[in-house]
Amino acid sequence: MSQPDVAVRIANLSMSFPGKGTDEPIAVLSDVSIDVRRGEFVCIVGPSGCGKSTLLNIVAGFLPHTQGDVLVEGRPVRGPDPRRIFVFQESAVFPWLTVRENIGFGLSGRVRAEREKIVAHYVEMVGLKGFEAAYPRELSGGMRQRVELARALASNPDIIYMDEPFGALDFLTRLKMRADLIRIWQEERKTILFVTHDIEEAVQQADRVVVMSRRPAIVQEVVPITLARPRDLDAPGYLAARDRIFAAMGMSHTVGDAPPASRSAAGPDADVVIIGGGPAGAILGAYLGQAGVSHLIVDKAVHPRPHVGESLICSTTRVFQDIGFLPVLEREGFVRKYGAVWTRAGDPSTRTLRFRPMPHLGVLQEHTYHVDRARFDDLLLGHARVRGSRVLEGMTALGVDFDARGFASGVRARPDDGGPERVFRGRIVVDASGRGTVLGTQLKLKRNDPLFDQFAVHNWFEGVDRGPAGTADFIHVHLLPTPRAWLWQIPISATVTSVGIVTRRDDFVQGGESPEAFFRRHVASHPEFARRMAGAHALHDWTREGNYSYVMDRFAGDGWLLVGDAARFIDPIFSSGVSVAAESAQRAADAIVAALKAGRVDETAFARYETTVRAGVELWREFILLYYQLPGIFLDLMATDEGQAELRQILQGQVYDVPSAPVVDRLRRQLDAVKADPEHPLRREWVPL
Amino acid sequence: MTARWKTGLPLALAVALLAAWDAAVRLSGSDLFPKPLDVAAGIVELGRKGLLHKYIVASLFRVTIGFGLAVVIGVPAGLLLGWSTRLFYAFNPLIQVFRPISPIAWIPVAILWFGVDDRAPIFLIFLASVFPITVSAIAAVQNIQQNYIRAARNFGLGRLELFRRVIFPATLPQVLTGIRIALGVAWLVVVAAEMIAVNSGLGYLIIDARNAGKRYDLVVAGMVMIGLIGLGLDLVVRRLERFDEVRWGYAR
Repeated sequence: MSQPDVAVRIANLSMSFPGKGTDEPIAVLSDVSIDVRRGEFVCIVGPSGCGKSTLLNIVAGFLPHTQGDVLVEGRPVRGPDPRRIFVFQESAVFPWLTVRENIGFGLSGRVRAEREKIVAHYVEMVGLKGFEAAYPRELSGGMRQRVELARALASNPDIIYMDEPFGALDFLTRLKMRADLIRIWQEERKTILFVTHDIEEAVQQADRVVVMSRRPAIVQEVVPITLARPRDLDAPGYLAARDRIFAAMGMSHTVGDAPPASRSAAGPDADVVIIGGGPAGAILGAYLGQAGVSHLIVDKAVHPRPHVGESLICSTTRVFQDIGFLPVLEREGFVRKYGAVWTRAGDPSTRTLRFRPMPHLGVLQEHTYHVDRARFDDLLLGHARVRGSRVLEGMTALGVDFDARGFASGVRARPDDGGPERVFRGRIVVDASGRGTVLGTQLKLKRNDPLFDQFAVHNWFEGVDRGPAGTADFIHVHLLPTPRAWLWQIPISATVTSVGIVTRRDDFVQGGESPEAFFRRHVASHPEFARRMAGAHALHDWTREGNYSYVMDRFAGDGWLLVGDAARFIDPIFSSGVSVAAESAQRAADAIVAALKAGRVDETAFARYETTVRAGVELWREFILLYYQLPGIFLDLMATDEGQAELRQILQGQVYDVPSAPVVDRLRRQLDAVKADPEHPLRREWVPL
Repeated sequence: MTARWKTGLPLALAVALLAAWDAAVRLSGSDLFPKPLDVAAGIVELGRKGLLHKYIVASLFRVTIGFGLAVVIGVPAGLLLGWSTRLFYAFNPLIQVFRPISPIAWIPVAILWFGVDDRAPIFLIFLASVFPITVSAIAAVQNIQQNYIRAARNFGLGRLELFRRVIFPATLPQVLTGIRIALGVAWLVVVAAEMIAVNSGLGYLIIDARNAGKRYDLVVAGMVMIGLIGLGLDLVVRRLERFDEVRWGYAR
């Protein structure tokens, strides 16, 4: 018999899905019991894929369950009910109705005047006044979720079920939505059952947080949050509650697994400590968050970050799909990149390569993106938070500590505001510090790559003529008469274009010019491109970046890994920067999850990671070297369908876990032929390195 | 590209092609194949005799009836088959067998059943357009975002209301696309059918102009009219795709 103030009673609930064929059924929920009181705000947190969404769908009556009871107001749930409205993660706002019609959707039984009054009230409450007649496609993601929330509230339900309702929104919008939800809940006093994998979100909102384990999910812990609202995110009580949930979630992945290999008496701050919140660190964080591995990111957060690498390549789409970041890229309106164009000074023909989907990698879209790196990096780090990363901003990592056995044991860092030095302990330390190369420098692993001693000068421009309309949104690489010198042309927005020159370092040093004079001189050496720049004006100060390429002797060791630029930096002519970050972060995440599960974090656990990533980047390096020695052959190859198909493998970034790259073999053979034969017709094209 | 370029370029290309056509006929010395101006004269001649108007009306009438029937039957049938798994399994094999049979192949059967009057081409047009419409409606229902259905059920909608307020509007964009494709097919088929099964309409005009006096100027005049009306029909349906109720369903 239910107590009078219990709105939802979940009692000994178990759920399993039938397995494929003769497989065992897959247990999703195991003996879950939760009571939600009337007017209470309860958050359910747990690692991605743990079954918390399934739980909510059962409670809402969309799914049947295998065992146990679900009672709402004392009655078993038999199906969906208008007195309990479900708010979906992917907006279920009806796109064919206006904001007003959507919000009034559940009110069709009321007389018109009354309906209009209610709709107006909730339009006002969620801050959509002035948008009543707009259609959902004209609204931002955050506004669409507001419409959905208003639609739920307007039908005056007793209970609202929310399934990661802010999951697809960017970080700042999420913060705002949470604050608004709390305000509305305080006004309306509905019962809210809210599912999220974001611990901060749970602690900011809930009266009680129910922590679920990995699948099959059990209730790991129930944490009451008694703090007054609005909540101070730096208050000791807030931090304590958050850390308690972190601990509960961090423990969850070792339940039933081997005991932790080494843990000091006080216990680590997290299983994994990541230095740097750039793309590599953020992507790694997102993967670890999804896998339910406790981790934190120590981030210097210098804004804007240096931003070479504004163009992405197609293979990164796979990674962005994995971590759910693709909708963010689309929503934020980054310029789509459908291919690449090469031109050469004095050569009227241009070469165009159009990207293709890579279904075997699960990449079905033809385009990737050009990105404003400052904004992109911010969004990516925000997304890692969404996926469960704890990010400590304003912390400069000073170095990595090692324990008596020689295992990395933590990261020493100093707050940028001058506070005392701190040590963040973890079982695994990952250096994603980019070109800061914290750990590589500390361990003296860094070797400069003499073949790529290069230098870049770049800026953003308005008024650049991007060439024919069909390829205006492609990346353009303009090859210059000076050996190994080239310009990039990358569309950043409808009007802004990034243009930069890359050349050998001594080429710049010997000239003794200002960056601008140097830039202008090189642009002038490519008359066709110079014409396109005729009406352009620079938007910022000139940025110089030098001392370009390096490699670390090792990418991993006992308790540590290097990812992204912190491991290897190569000439960015083929937009490889973010790709190296993404691919290495994904593989590092796999290695880390397996290592923690096996309870072994010594270097053997990361051997395969190092081999794969090193082989991939080396393949790239060799390709770039061959390219610089024989740019003419590269352009010829681009003129044939067969050559384009071979090139696409590399240029779309499929260099990891591949047995070979035919195009590299082909270029190598041709280079050997040119070298061996002084009479070779391409001999004068050869640029020896 | 500015709007001026968008209309200017195709116009310029059309003028160039007409000039090339004219030059090619003059150079070849053919007295059978018409020059552009002959065709224009042919169209004027047909207009003056009242034939142009009569034939266009005849063709459009057949398309309107046959295609109208296909919409009235195909859309509800498709929505129903898309919604009911059982009906879908029952009918889908049948549809897939009939769908690939070209409407042209039905011409002898149509003449046998209906004789040489309007009913034969109407039947053929119906056959040609009902399948694309039905199939796209089926796919539209099967592809509805599950969240829309769940949200609607959550608000307590009954079966009929669900159809009227969610399934119909949610599928409308894709259904409209099917209708547009089907209309193109219908217009192709009416011409073919009229060449064989009746003695009026634009298809009949073409075959009659050739048989009766090798009047190739009228043959080409008929082709030009078919092209222009086809373009007009497509523009009309595209107009429909701009309404707010369906515009969300199309990529920008």
